[in-house]
Amino acid sequence: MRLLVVEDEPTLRENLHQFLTQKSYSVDSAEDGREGLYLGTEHPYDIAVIDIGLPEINGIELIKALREKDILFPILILTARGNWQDKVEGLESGADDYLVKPFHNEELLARLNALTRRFKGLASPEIKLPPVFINTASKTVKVEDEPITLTQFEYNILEYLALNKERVISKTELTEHLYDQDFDLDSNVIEVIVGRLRKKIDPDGTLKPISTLRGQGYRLALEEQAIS
Amino acid sequence: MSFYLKDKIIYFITHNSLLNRFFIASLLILPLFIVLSGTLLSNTFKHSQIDAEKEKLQAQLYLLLSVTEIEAQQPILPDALTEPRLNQTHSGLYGFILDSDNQELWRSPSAELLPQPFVETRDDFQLNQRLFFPFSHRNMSSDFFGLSYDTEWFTEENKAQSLRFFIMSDAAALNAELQSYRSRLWQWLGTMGIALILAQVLIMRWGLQPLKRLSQELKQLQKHDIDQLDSNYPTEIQPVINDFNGILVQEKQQRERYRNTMSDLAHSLKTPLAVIQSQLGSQAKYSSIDQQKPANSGKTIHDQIERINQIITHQLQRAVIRINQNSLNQSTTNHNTHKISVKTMVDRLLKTMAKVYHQKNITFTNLAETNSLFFGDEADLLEILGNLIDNACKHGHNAVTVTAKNNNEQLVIGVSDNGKGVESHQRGTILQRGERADTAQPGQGLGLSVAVDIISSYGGEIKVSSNAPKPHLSGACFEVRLDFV
Repeated sequence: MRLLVVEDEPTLRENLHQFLTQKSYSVDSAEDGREGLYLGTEHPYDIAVIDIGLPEINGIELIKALREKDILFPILILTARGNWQDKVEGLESGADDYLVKPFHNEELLARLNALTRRFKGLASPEIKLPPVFINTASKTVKVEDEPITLTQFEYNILEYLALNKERVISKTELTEHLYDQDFDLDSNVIEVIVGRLRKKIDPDGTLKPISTLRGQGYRLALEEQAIS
Repeated sequence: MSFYLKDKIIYFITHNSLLNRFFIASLLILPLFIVLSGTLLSNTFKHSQIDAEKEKLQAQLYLLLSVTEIEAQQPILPDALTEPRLNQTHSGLYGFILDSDNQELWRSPSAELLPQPFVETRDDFQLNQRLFFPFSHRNMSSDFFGLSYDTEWFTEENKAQSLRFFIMSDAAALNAELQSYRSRLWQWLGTMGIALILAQVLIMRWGLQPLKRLSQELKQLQKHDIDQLDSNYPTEIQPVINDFNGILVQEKQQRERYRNTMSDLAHSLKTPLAVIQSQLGSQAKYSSIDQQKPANSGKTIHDQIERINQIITHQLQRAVIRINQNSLNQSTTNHNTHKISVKTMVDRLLKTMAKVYHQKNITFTNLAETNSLFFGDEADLLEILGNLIDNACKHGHNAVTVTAKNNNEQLVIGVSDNGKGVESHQRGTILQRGERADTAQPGQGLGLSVAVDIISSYGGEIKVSSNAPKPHLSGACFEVRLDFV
């Protein structure tokens, strides 16, 4: 998941960057509204965290500008005053949720997860693609009820493919969504990781969970569990 | 005059309207002036009449002198005198000639029937002395004016003889004229006085018209219909109005400065708190791997940060409310302070809540009447409604209904949900400052108390019930009443 943080306070920005990276987001951060607008327009983020009180362009103006450019990723606003006027104005400008400062990191994470799920059309944090079960809240994967251990990159690729399983995902898209802008990634690395992922999920090669479409990219070849 | 009545009159004079003061003053002063000027006019008229009478008598005297001759020490005058009034008895004009011992030598035919001797003067004879005097006679009902002239007449023997000529006229005619003049004078002055007082009242009403307009404008200002006084006042009042408008602008700017300072303060204090909290979060994580203690102390610091945060939020909120409240008391305006449509605000908030509580899939119903209005600050209304609706979303099952209507200058807002409702023993405490009945729900526990603070700053009241009648939902129902008179 690629995430944009726009926050002018350096320490808070750094802490958010560190915390969210740990939680397997690939994070870009901007220190003012102008930079936030540039990054938000240039890169395909999955979600953004934007502070309302920003220098240059304030948070509300930034969100309006992004929405006017038809950029639709979910946005969570951070507000210091916490009064309803700020919250309403923020949400009316196009944000999807708010968090009042100061906040617990865990609460931020829970809100971000809920927002991503909502935007990917998931009702619960668990994506059920039998025999694979991905828990997006705890970032764990089970195959046939057996937990498997994945590295952060492996999990991110699997989750991204699962969330967009109706589409073919190119290596470029995976790179863009899973790594922040400073990460200069050789596309061979993606192939290596996908190869490792296939082995971990399907050690005996019967399931073939990820299919490769030559010249186009990858697609998850698992069917979602019917809602009973 | 009783003490009580005196007090009443003093109060009326000192405390009543300017119009009354002017009216009382002119009621006291105008009659005084009218009496004075009436007396002056009537006296002047009287004196001019008397002077005219003196002139007339003098002319008669000369006529008498011109026809008088002395024979055997007796004055001889023609039987028919040129002045007809001297020939006719009781005509009102009488002539006498006396000697130096006041012995009557001659009287005009008009004085034939007057008492003898008529003239009783004790004044000593003094040559060429001329005296004019009013007098009354004990046997006569009317008053007289008299003119005496002492002279010497030379006989044919060239012998000087002292003679006192005396001419008198009846004062009745003059008095009658004076009387009629006076009565006409007082009639006119009285009419004029009443007309003057009426005119003065009208003039003062007209003159005080701008003050009446000013008072109406101040009322409008209080209701926030306008935010400055009109600039079209008479030149005497305009400088005061300009100064007042200046103070209004200054006050407004100062209030906005306060507000900005408050929000700057909130922002500048809360961001460091957020930093500490996030820093602490990551440190606690690392240290809790092998050490239990630092994680515990981290929790303590977390709790304390939470408390500091609550205190800041609460106090800042209260400070902002107090500023708003002052602005209402001073009947000045605030930004966004107007008539606000409650329905529109509820719509905005419900759209917002639908985003925030997307996962709960809540059915929101806005039953606020279109004409329901809130008089005050938009931010305050958003804060009251926001906190109540947010509370309903948290505690309700999956439905929230908002009602609002204006009843006899009272705005009644109802926010209900379909949750468990509030236990009767909790209803008192839930609306107190910083109280939270259900500690399991997320939030700072300040929302309701902030709403309560704002409502009480507007002089309103809030109560909570369960199972309120329809259209309210069956869970908790918060009802807010705000008076706007």
